[in-house]
Amino acid sequence: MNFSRGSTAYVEKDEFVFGTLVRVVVSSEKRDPKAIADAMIQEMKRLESKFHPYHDGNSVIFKLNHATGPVTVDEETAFLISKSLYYSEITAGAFDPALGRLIKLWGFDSPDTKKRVPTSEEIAKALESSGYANVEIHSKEVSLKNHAWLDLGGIAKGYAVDQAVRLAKKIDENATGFVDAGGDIAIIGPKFGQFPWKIGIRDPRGGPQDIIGVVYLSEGAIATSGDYERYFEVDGVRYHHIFDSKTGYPARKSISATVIAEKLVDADALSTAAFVLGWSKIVEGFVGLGAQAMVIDAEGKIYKTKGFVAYEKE
Amino acid sequence: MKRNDLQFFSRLDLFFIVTPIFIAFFIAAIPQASGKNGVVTVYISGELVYEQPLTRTATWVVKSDGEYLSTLVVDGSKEKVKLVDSNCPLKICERTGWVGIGGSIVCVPNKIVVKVEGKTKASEIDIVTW
Repeated sequence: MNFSRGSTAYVEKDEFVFGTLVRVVVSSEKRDPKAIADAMIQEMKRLESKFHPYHDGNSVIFKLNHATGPVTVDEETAFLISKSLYYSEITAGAFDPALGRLIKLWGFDSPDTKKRVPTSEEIAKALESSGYANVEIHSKEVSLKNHAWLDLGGIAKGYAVDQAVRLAKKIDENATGFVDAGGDIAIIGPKFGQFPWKIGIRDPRGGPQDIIGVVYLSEGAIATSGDYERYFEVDGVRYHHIFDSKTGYPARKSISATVIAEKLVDADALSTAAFVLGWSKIVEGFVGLGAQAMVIDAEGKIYKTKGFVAYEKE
Repeated sequence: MKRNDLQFFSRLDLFFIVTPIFIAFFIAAIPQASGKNGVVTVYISGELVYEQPLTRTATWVVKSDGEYLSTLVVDGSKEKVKLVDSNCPLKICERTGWVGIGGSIVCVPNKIVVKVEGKTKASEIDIVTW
C-alpha cells in the first residue's frame, strides 16, 4: 500500500523479526525516513536476540532457562520479567510467561518444529515445570524453579515495537507512521500528521482481507490474539499456539481478542490474557488499566468494553 | 465557391460521430487501466524475485537456490493471488487463501512475502490487526 500526499511520503520497510513479518511505515521531514526505519528494525532485532527463549547466541532468556541457580540480569530484562509477572497476577495466570516447556512440547517453539498433540502424561509433566509461580525476581536476580522455562513471546514483541517507536520519536519527535508486527500495531504518529489510521480487525472466521470491525488510532497501540493463524489440525480439531496454563491445552473460550492500549507491550499481554479468559470480569476490568477490549467467543458473539466503541468513530 | 460549401459534416454531425467513438474508446480502455493498477510482487528474504501484472493469469514455482519452496497462482480474471502449495510445516501461507489488491501472503519459514499492490480508495483501511 502506498501512502503519499503532497511532500509527505511514507517509507516502508519489511523484515522478519520475532517469527513474523514486521512492517515499518514511517515519514519524517527532519531526517531520512529510511534511516529511521532501518534503526527501528535494528532495535527490534536486538531485542529478538536478547529475549529469544530457544536460541542461544546473546539471549538472556536462553541463559536463564538453562541456568542451575539464580541469575543476575540487566535492568531491561528485569523490567520485562516483572511486567510479565504483574500481568500474570492480575489475569489469574491467563497471561503466563513461564510456559516454555509446554510450548516446546507442542512444537510451537519454532516455525520449523514439527507440531503434534502430546499425550496427557506429557502435558501433565510439562505443567509441573510451567507457570509463573515458578519465577522469582528480587531486584535484578531471577530464579526459575522446577526447571521452568520463560517464554516472553506474548509480551517481548510488543515491548520491542514500543522501543522502536520510542527510537523513531527520539530521532524526530514529529515522525509519523506505524509499526505492524504481524497484526500487532503501534502508532508512531497520525497519518500525514493529522488523520487517524484506519485499522481493520480481521474476521476470525473469514479470509485475510475480511474485516469484522474498524477502529481509528492516531496514537497508542492495538493487538489481537486469535486461533486462526498459527495452528495445526488433527482429526478435524484445531490446535493453536495460545495455551491455557491450567489445562496445558490450547485455550478454547474465544476465537479472537483485541486490546487497545497506550503501549503495545500492554496490548500484547492483555490480548493474550483476554483470549485465554474469554469475556469475563477480569477483561472488563482492563478499562481500569487504561485498556479497551473486544472479545469474540467460540460461538462468534462479540463483546466490547464500553470505551472500545469510542475508537470505532473516526 | 463559398468556404461553407466544402464542409462535409455539420457540427451536429461531428458530435454524433465523435461522441460514440470517444465512449467506445473509453470503455475499451477500462480493463487496461485496471490491469495497470494491480501488480503482484514476490520477495524472498527481502529481495524482489518476481513481478507481474495482476490481470495476467500465471502459475509460478517459487524456488531459492534451486530448492522448491512454493507454487503461486495468479488468477487474472479475478485479479487475485494464492499460494497453492508450500513446503513449510504449518501451511499458514496456503491457508491464507486468495488475496486481492492491498493484501499479502507471508510464509515465515521460507521468508517469502507476496504483495498485491495497486491503487486503493482513500476510504479503505490502512492496516489490519489479526
